[in-house]
Amino acid sequence: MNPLWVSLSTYGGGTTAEALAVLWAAGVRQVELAIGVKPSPDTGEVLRHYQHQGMQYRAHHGVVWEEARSFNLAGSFDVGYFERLTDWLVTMDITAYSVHAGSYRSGDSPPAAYDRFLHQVVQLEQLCSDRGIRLGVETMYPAGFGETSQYLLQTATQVEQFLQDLPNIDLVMDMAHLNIWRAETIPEKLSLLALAAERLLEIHVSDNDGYRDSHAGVTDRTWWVPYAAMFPSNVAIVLESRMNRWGVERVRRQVEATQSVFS
Amino acid sequence: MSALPLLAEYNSLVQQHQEQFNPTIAQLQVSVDEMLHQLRQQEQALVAAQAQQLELLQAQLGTDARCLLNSAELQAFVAEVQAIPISYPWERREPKPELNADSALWHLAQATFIVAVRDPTNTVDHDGYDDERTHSTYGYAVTIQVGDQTKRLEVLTHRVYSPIDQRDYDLRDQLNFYVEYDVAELLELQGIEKSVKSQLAREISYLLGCAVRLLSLTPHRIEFHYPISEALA
Repeated sequence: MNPLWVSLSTYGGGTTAEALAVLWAAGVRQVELAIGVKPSPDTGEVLRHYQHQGMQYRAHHGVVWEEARSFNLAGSFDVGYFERLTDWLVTMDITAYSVHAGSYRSGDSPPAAYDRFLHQVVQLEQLCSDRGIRLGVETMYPAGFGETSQYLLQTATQVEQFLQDLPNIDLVMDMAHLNIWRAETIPEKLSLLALAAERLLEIHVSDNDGYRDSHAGVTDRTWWVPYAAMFPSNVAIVLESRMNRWGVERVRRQVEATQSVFS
Repeated sequence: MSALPLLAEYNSLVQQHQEQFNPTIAQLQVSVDEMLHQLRQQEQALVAAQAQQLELLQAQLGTDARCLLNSAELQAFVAEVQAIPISYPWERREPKPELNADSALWHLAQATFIVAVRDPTNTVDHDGYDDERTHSTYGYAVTIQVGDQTKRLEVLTHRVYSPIDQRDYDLRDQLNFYVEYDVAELLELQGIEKSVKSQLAREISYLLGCAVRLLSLTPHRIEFHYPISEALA
């Protein structure tokens, strides 16, 4: 049995208050804070309000908290920002934080970008471990569609190399990102689940067409669903399918349908 | 308190200018307005006839857009899309076969189900976001019917991350990423066999793109803009 968490990015476009009101009413009690909701002066207060009601949180990448920003861990590293963020995570009893692998622009040197990324992840990991937070890095995918930058950790080989290079840092597998991988067979993709088993911080789930990370709903036809029993037990599953503007009952049905895949 | 002498002289010249030219300009505006009014009355019948013709076209495409097969419009549209370079790196390595330029030879020409395209509307979303950044998106929504299956598609044409970071999606990307997959799903629900599904999905995507362009046509009307009647300082 895997616990199902719901990313706040599933209900973006409005404020944190609007999103959490719907998720709470739909029965969701475990939320991963993320991008998508609009920054608002009451964000921190709202998060604490629901926490007092019993909501639990974990946090992901460019999370909307009392601040909101995008960053690239293969680019520049703002220590002050991550100190403030990780301090805040502690005040919110959040013990799991995940980030995307960094990215580099065409023309940049991929090995140099990877070295910068490793160096900065180690710095971030230090901030996290000092505060009792587990840090995970997410598997990414090959960019296309007019994009001018490429992610690191976009192939199985790169993920395996990362696991070797930084043995103290955990992994987040995004099954929808793996659907966009080109070179790997399904068994090769699934073998990462076993390879990283003890180091899996969480598994992100949604669906897409194999080309763009569209965060579609999980259905019987979603590629990884027949293999859900292979997911290491007790690893947190994080639902990332978009449900913006949906009503409470529709959200409840989608969350329950996804949960049923893991029970 | 007296006015600054140099400014008083300027103001006097401005007044002289207004008195000399404003009446003539006002007269010119009246005569242009009158002429435009006459032209608009004269064009009314022709505009209404165009609108009626477009309504017939919209009704036809909304009933079965396969009427575009073997048309010069579809042929030109296909050629226009195929002239656009492929943007996805892996598609350049393993390109899908291009469609036959002659749509009379498409699988769709043999199909027994209808393909209807209707109700395109422009869309704007200022609350968009991907995994890392927020953005505004621009595009259109359109209803497609394949056999007895109907779906409202949303096609993005433009994504704005910031004033200096924007993406335009060309026709090839629009059809490839926002239409083809959904059409393939409709075909699957329609029980179309796998061996021809992807080819049919691509043909229908191009048909939809061409139909949307035709559905966006509007009657031609008189447009005449002229500067407002103010002397520029």
